[in-house]
Amino acid sequence: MTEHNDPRVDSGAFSLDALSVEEAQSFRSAAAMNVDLQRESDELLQTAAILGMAVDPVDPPAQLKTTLMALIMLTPQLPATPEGRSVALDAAAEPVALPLQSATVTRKVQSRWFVRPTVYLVGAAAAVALFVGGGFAGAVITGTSTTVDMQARGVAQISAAPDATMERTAAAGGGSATLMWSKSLGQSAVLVSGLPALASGSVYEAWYINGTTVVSAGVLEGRDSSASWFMLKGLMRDGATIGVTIEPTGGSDQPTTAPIIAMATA
Amino acid sequence: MLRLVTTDNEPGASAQLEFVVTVETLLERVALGEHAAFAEMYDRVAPRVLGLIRRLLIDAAQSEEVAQEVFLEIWRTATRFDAQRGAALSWILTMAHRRAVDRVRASQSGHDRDMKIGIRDLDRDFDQVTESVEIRIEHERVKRAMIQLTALQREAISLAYYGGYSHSEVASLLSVPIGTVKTRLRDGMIRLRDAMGVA
Repeated sequence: MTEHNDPRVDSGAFSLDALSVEEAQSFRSAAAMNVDLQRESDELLQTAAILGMAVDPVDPPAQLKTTLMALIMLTPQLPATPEGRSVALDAAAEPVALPLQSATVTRKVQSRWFVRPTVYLVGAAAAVALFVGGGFAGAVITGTSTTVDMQARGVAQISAAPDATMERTAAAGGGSATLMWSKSLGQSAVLVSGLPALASGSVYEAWYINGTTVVSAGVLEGRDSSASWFMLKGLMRDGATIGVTIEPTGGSDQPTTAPIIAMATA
Repeated sequence: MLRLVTTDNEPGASAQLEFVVTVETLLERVALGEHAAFAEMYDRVAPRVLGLIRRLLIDAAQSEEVAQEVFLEIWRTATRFDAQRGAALSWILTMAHRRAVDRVRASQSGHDRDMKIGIRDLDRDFDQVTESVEIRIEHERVKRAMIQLTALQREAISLAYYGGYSHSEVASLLSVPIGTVKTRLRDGMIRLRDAMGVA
């Protein structure tokens, strides 16, 4: 848009998310300076939302809620705007980075998992700014949030690191894992969600893999494996791949089964 | 505003109002950091949010990912929600639509989508049989308002909103200049706004 064009012509397309990113930004700037245009924009956005209300609903899988209830415990809320919460209907106009926004690349587990999978750079690492507001999955279900343990502090510490990065991947056999790590701290944590319950005698065990060196990063136990954060033990070295396998109770020195999760941190 | 639904004297209109008020109240409590309110708000709106995202993205797994992003954004930004400027459900669906469109544009599958799908699905948006009374009322409301548009306005709006197409894609699908598309989108949306009593 140039200043010679009337930004008003874009209000319909804006309300339908049909503008390019640049055009949408120009439109927002114009609307912010023009009360009438802002009102028209708000009204058309509400009109568009009614189009959305006419769409048939789809029931989400239960796992989505479980994951979200675990995630909000680690996700801070924005402070209300100082000037009395007067933000446009499209509050997202303000660039708000989400922890998982740039981290939803889903990768298949590599067949040779100890070989570092193709590197995916996860941008906006600085966007990850989380803290621990409460307990974990055990508490999630009942809605209370009183348990803050060492694991929580560890996860909080990683999330507060300037280079904290998050990435989500599907697990072979069902469920997913969200890995959060900080290279500067050399630490990582994993949020498992919807992993199948294991028969007694088996546990999930995490591993740090650097080339052909595989070191145990601890057994994921003591919590509901359907949605919980686990701090991984030991130092995460540069370029490590993090894997999870199913092992006999007590864990193994080296993995004995094919991994259900393998994620590169490089 | 949604509260104008009550002036339609339709069965279920008051229930609709109650529903909307409840979501707004829940959102205020979410803004205070209440996990239980978030859980309840989620239960209320998640099927609508996922339904809208699925309408645009088709793919179930991708849609769930985007829905997860949307709900985290709701959690983060509930403090910024301003009831003076629109209903809670509008705010939420606006967010869901934007993120779904972002995903459509970002993913290769989005670029590679068969553009004809958008055209073929046009009628679906108005002729679907749906079981929920609440949705059927919205559906009827949209359908009645849509009838008042010109064919070009209707097609352009449907492609943009339900198909997630940009104005330039809509222009190419309908073989009209971009400027014309922008004008039709605005004229059509204004007409819909007036027909549905949003002001």
